[in-house]
Amino acid sequence: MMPTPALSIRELHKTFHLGLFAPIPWARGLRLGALNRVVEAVRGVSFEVGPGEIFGLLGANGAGKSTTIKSAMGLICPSAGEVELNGLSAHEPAARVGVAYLPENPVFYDELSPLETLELFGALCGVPARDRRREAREQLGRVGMSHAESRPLRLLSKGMHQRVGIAQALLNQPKLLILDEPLSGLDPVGRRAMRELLLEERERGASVLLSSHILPDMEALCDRFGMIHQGQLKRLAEMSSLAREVEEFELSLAPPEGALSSAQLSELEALGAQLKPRQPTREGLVELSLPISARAQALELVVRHELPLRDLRERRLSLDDLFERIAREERS
Amino acid sequence: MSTPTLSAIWAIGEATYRSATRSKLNIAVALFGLAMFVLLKLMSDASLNQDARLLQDMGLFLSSTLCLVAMIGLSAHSLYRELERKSVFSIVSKPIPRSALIWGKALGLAMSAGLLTLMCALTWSVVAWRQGLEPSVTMYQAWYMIWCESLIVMGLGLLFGSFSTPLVSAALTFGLTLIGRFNQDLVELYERALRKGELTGALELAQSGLYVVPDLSLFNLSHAVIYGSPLPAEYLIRGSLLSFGYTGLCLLIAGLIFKRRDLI
Repeated sequence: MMPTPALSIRELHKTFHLGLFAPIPWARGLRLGALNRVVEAVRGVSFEVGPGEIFGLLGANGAGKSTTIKSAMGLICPSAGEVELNGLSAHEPAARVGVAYLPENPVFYDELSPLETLELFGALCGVPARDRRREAREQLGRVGMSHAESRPLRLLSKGMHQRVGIAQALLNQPKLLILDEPLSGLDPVGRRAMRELLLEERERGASVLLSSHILPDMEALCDRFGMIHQGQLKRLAEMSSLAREVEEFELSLAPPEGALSSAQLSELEALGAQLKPRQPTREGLVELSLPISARAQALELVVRHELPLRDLRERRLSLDDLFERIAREERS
Repeated sequence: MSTPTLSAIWAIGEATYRSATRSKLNIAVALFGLAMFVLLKLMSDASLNQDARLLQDMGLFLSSTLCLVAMIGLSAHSLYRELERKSVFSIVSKPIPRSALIWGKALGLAMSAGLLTLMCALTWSVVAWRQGLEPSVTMYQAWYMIWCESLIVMGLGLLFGSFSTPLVSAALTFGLTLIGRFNQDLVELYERALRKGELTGALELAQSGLYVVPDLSLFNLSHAVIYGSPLPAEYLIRGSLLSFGYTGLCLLIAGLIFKRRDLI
């Protein structure tokens, strides 16, 4: 029997009705411009997070990551589709037993101290009263906040708020951690500590769903990833395949005729080559980018056609470049 | 309600109470104390053999006004602040029903109102003691009724706050509190206008408010205190039941509305 996924999202859609008439259901269909706007934040997203897996949700700002995560936590009611936590509907409070959530830029009560905050969250996630203080101190220690446990939160930095947020998520040994941009606001030391902490949690058997728009963090942590772009899931794959997608190399060639022949070009395009804009360059060079996996064949082709090679360099794509490529692929 | 839910409500209430007492309420209490002492100075200058009556009347008026203003402000702003700052996400994502947040907030605000009323009573007692005035039991019963009234106001504030902005919520709460306070006068005015055929739109609107808000003049015991009228126990029980029942109803509706909200 297949184990129940820690989180299962099927055909999730979320449409927001914004504007003056948004609260009136029958008036939502009226065309009233800015007074009645419709935003499709998530369109048909489906994925699962298995037991003991770290799943990364990648996407640029506004791609629909947070809406997906909030639907998973029952904070937003989906327009269509199903979201289940440990086999139960996400809207049931019982489904959230053993599920921890860290919102993006977490905010707590300014007048409380980190210790009081964690005691509050301990009570909310069912830690027995006699164990709350000990458990709160233990988790504050794990995120390096013991020294500031009694200071009011309003006096703490953004990074310290983030640490308190992480500590509250770790209370009561959750089986599933859902973390929205958990590494944002942390300094490099904090980021490394956080990465180690998440790997420790996986070792313990917890599943993790985390969202980010920072590729190296995701590569260091995730087993699988889903890439979300304009509300749609564009990729769902093993993390190792992402490395192949984001690494490419660039060739600068100086063809004797000033341009590549159509035969040469089609051979290179068959390997996945993309001509860079404004070809040839002022120096009469033709610049191409190719997937890293096609390097050997591309070089063999350059030698075979005796094309003068001026430069060859490796490059890592940014998330924006990757989304641009996805959009280009979709258009073609 | 299950034990974990009750425990969550208590924890949210405690956090709300701590937050309120460490910020706004302190300022309110300090202002009240200052107002009382300024009043004491003015009173000794202006009054002529009416010190006791004025002190009682003004003490209750100030306490009641302070509690109402604090409760309208805190309750109308309370939920919105959570939503605006997004602190609500971490709380309602725990395995608790969303309504636990409303009930917890109400508990914390009720405790804050209790502390505020107590502080008012203590400050007044000190002032009265300096004036050589002996406080009566009715005076302390009056403060209890002020607390009961502030619970109703809090319930209304949380109810309106569950679906509107603080300004709208505060305006609606304030409006209904006024209607409740002038309940008897409005009924008389309405009946007189009805007899004379001079009903205005504003009066009809105020009249419709009478159906949704209880008669808050029940909670004003200044006449009983000043004239030393004995206060039967049934009166206090009736007031308590009305206050707890009405507040509970408001919170129940607020919980149902809040449950359906998308928390963006």
